[in-house]
Amino acid sequence: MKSKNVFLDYQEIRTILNDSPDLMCRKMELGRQTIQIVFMKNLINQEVLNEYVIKYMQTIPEKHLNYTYLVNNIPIEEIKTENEKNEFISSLLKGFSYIYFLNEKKGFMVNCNNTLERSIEKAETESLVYGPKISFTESLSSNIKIIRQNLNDYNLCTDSLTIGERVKKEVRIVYIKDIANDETLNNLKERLEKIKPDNINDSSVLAQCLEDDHYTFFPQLLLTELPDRFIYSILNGRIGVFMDGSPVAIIGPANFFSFFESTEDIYLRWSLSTFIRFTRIFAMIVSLFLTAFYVATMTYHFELIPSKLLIIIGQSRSQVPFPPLLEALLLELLIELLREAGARLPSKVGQTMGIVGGIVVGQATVEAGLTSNILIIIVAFSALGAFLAPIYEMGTAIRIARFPCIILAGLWGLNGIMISVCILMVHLLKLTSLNKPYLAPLYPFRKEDFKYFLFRLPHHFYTKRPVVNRPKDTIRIRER
Amino acid sequence: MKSNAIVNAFMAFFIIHTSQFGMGILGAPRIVYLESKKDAWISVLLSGIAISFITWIMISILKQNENRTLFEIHENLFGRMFGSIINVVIVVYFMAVHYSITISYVELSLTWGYEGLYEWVGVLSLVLITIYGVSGGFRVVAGICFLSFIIFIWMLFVLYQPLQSLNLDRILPILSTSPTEIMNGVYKSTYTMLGFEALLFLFPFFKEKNKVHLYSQLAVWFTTFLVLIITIFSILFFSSKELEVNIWPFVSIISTIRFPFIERFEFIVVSIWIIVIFPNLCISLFLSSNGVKQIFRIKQKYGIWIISIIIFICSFFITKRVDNDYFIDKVAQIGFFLWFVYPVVLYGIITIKSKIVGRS
Amino acid sequence: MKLRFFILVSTLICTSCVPPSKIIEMQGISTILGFDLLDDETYKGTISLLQFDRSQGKTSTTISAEGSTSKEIRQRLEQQTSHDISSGQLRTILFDKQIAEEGLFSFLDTMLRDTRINPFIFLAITDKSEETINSKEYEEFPEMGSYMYQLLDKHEKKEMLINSNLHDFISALYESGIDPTLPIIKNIKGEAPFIEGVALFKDDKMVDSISLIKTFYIKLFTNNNAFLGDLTLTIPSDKLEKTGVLISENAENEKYKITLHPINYQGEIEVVNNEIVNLNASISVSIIEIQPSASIIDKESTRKLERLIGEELNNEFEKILEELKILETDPIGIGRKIKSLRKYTHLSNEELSEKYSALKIMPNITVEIKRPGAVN
Repeated sequence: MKSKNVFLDYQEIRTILNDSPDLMCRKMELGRQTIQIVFMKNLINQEVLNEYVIKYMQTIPEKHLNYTYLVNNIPIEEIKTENEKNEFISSLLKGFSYIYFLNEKKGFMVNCNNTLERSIEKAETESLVYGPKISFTESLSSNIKIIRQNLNDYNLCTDSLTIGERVKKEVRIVYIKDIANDETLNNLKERLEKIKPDNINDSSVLAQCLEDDHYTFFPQLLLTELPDRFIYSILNGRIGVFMDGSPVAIIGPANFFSFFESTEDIYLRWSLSTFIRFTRIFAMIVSLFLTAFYVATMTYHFELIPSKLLIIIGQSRSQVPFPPLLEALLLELLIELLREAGARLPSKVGQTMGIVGGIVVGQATVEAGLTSNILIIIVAFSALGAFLAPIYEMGTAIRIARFPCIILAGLWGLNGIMISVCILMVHLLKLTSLNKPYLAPLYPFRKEDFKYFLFRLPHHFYTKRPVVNRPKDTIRIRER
Repeated sequence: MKSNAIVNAFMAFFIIHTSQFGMGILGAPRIVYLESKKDAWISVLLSGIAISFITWIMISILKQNENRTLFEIHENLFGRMFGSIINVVIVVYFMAVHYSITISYVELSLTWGYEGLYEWVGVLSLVLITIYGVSGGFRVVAGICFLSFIIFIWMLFVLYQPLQSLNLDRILPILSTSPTEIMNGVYKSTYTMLGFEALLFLFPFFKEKNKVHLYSQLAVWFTTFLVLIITIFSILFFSSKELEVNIWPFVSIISTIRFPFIERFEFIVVSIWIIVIFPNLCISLFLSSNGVKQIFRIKQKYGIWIISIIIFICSFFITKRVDNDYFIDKVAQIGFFLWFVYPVVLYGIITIKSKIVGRS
Repeated sequence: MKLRFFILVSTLICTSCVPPSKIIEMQGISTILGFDLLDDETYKGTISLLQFDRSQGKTSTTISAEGSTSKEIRQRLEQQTSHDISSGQLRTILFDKQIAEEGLFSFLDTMLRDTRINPFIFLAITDKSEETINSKEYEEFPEMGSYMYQLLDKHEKKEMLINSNLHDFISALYESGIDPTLPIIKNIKGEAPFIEGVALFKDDKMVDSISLIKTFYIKLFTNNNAFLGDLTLTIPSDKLEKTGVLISENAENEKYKITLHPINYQGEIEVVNNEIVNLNASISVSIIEIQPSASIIDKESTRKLERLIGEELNNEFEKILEELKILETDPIGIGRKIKSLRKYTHLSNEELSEKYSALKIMPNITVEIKRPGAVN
């Protein structure tokens, strides 16, 4: 075991930090004491250093100018006295200043960091009509602050962990102690400890590392940037994870249907939210199978088309040189191209892209006879359906899952679709999220949870927390 | 394999019902009608009562051997050697059931819109999804039963449309056929109703054992009710000669259904039937592979693969309509003796044995 | 993981074996099919195929071929078109009268075997089906097939036509104690084809036809779910006066015309005993027209009018029943009803038809006037 207090001198620090030009050393001679202040120039808040460290040291009487007094009295909230070498360096790189007493050969670190952070803004990816608009930022401390502010409960735990071999990042596990299920919590912690990468870029990467099944299309953990969603979730017995430097929080365990709920469902009246939720699930199904159905009907089952539609569809197909499968894949690809182009371009250009792509290209392909106009409607409709999922990741999963369905439909017609339904069914049944079944509350069947995940009821029905999360404290509203 | 997975007692309803309900129902009305004519529905009702009784016997057997499947009961009762021989018979039976379901579905879908496809392609696709389903263990199989039930059950409400084509005179007069013919009908209707025997093998997986009986009775009666309804529908819908020549009367009834947005609903139903037979396939594969595991003491995974490969190879040989009919007929026969007669015998043996043991 | 990989690979292997595709624009989709008898053994089949090409003005083409069986005709038709002729969207099959008189069964049997043909397509009789299909008059519909389908569908649901689809026909044919009927389509140059009457069958052979109005009485007992069309009765004015329903204001009119609009109806065949069968039916109607105009005010006269109309209907029905008995055809299904009774259930077909011709059939229609229209 190495000594806990490593007192490196300036030269040694310089070597470790590869002669960084930012590394500064300020030597002060105050009376008999020689004090060395080592810091990284760009990382510290100079005002803090000037006002509260240097000025402070200059004003106090000389007899107090020693290690013990300063450690106890320096007017800075965070100091570090015991440091291991690696941590010392990383603290320095975080914006700590190292105050070293040359005579005493002792030193400590004070926090005068100056992290760049965005101000708190409106949520971008998950937008709401009603409800709080505030969103998380890249700073872990302000995220925790937002949560603490809105969830004033002494049982709210924010366990800290550091992840990453080279780039160390702080991770916080947020849960309410007397609600969250212990087994799930331990499971999550175990998984977090097992992760040993060099660096984790973002919490979405962390979420992918934490997932039960890494190969599936479907996301198994919720990612959100909305504090209200986060709070709602952990109050229902889920566990949240923050990572420093990421504005997105991870929530787990999630189930399939929780990707179709939005916190807005709570804010709106129950009738409307029930309707909207059914619409979303319906749109998901339509989005998965509508194009596939078109391909199957056009390729194998023209009998299914009602006689009034038959001529319209037949006419629109008559000039198309491709088989329906290829036609559909081409058009789906086109929509994906448009979407990707729109997402990557600056927003103003993106809008133009959408219009040019959607109207001009669509119109032109139909007029040129490359696709049927019925298919354009269908593809557009299923693209819309995928965007209806409130969690972006689920939307992308549906978009991807659509392609195998289309291909199977093109090969075996309706039977192909049904086979893909079977595969999808088995796949969803096999999935778990933090070892909790993914398809809950449908299977395992928990009818008392339907009001949480499938539809909405007026608020006085919500007396119990959802069973699928297995909360310790199940009662939400105590009956009088 | 996670064979120790545990499911709630009410899942017994879905598991037993879905393993009963499948390919048989499509042709059952005709097969029963050929024997007991206008009183086919009485035959169905009687076989429902018989199954209900057998279920009671099964539960009584299982109650005495709480945590054992029938495979283990056999080994325990007759010894490893002799018990395994009986288990082999049962495994072969379930394999035959699996194949009979697969081939009759493939035949149906080939008739309905897929002429020109090789049988083995259809069999292979069904076998593959079944392997995928069963390899998830019992929890997934139970889930498949449940979801398949949910996906399918709304289809029954579509039957309101053919209601107006029914003619009540066709079923009258009641009890015009002789009792022997009705009993023949009961015998013929058993193939449709088979599947409740799954209970004997799945009992250890259920949580509240004392509730399982209630739910399995419900399942058995629900199936009987559905078969009854569909049989009555078929009798009322077709004239007698028409019903006698129609191989899949239920599909023909469905073909009267018409929606403004879709014509020829029966094509969709024939496709959806994959989802209906999916639990059947999964359960028969699960049970047979479970038996293989028990007999040879190997992992269930290997059992699944071996059986699936055998099934797939069969699909090159038994493909003709007449062969299929013969095959399914034989499966029905063996099924009748295995699950209508044998449980009673087994119950007798177990009671006698326990009395002897109790005395000494 | 290995498993999933395996499944993926095998799916890819399977993909090399796909069923022969039936891509919509490659199909010659037929919506109407007609058969004509040329001489003893040769038939002529005419088929209308949908045309999807937008650049051409027309939406369908018709082609014909001759042959001795329907499958042979089909093969010859295939020679005339680049599309695959498919019957998945077939809606109507027409037969000419000669074929109908010879028997339809051999044609219909092949239709039933073919799963692509919906058992709910309409069958109809016409003079010359080729001409009917070739007719260019089909109202606003894109082609003859959809026009014919709409025509027959509407008449079945709202007017007098008895169910006449393939399933009903076969079902009645196979069943002892009921005979099928089919509509007769008339094609006049310059007019859209229309329904002229209804053909009566004995087994699968057409024996006679009756007018569409007369099938009102048959539909009363065969189909309780559809609507009935309007019915106009002509009653001599002195008869009305005699019963005291109306005191006509101007005696110049010799007869009154009353148009009834049935609201709902209930028909029942009642086997009274070995010789007598009662055909009980009750109809509630609203009177939508009385020519010349007269008013029905009090309860008494309404009841008398009801009785009078009932009598008129019964008289009419009795005549029709006599006609049917002479033709030995039973579209109402009296035989079926008899057979459903325990003591007659073992009758053979011959015994049943003997019994039918010996029966005394008593029509008993009662009318209830619900509303006398908007004015009193």
